[in-house]
Amino acid sequence: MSAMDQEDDAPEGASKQGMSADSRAFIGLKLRELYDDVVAEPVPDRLLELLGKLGEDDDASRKK
Amino acid sequence: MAEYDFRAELLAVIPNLRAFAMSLVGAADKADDLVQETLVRAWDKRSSFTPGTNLKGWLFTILRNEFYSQMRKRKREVSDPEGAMAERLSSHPEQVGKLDMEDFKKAINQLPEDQREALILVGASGFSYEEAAGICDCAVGTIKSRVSRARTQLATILKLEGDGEFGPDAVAVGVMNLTSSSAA
Repeated sequence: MSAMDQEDDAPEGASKQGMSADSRAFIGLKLRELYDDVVAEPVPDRLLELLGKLGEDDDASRKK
Repeated sequence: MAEYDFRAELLAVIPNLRAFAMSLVGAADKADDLVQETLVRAWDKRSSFTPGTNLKGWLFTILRNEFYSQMRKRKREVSDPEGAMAERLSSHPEQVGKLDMEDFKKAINQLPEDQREALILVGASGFSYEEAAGICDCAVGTIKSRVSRARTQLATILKLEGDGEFGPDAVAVGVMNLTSSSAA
C-alpha cells in the first residue's frame, strides 16, 4: 500500500538485533491467537453447501 | 483407481483458508467469498493436483492468486478498500497499554500487503519460509526479509520497543500473561 512506511526499515540483521525476544514472542502469540480464532470457527453453511454442489454438478453433467 | 475424496480434503483445509483470507481482506463475508471462489477453482483444476502432495500450499496459492487478481480489478474502482483509512484514523495510540486483539488487528492492517501475508503464512499458518516463498512466487530471502520487516513494523506500531512513554512497561504485563499461559 503506502511505500513510504517502509523507508525507515533497518536491514534484516539490524532489525533482528533491535527487537527483544519478548516483543517477538508477543507478536508471535498474538498472531497465532488472531489466526486460530478464525480456524476454530465452524465452516459456514454456504461453503459446506458449495462443496456439496461441486460434486453434484459432476453427477448432473454425467446424467444429462 | 480408488476414489480419492478430494472434497473431504478440501473441507479439512477450509478453516485455514478462511483464516488466511481474513488476514488478506479483513471482512468475514468478503473472506468467505474469496474462499468460495478458491474452492470452485480448486475443484475445476483438481486433476492438476497430485494426491499426497501439499494440498494446503496448493490451495493457499490459488486463494492468493484469486485475491490479487480481484485486487487489480478493484483498485481501478476504489482507492480505499474496506475503509482501511477510517480504521487507521480511529486507532488511538494512548490505548496501547491495554493492547487487545482489536489493537493488534489494526496494527496488522497497517502493514504493507506483502509483509502481512508473509508474516501470516510463516507466523500463523505454519508454512516454512520455503513453502511461503512457493505460495508467494518469490525468493526465500524475500520472504525472510518481509517477515522480519513486518515484525519490526508491528513492534513500532504497537510501541513494543523503546521510544515513547506508552512503551514496554505497559505491554510487558500482557507479554507475561501470554507467555505464562502457553509456556511449553
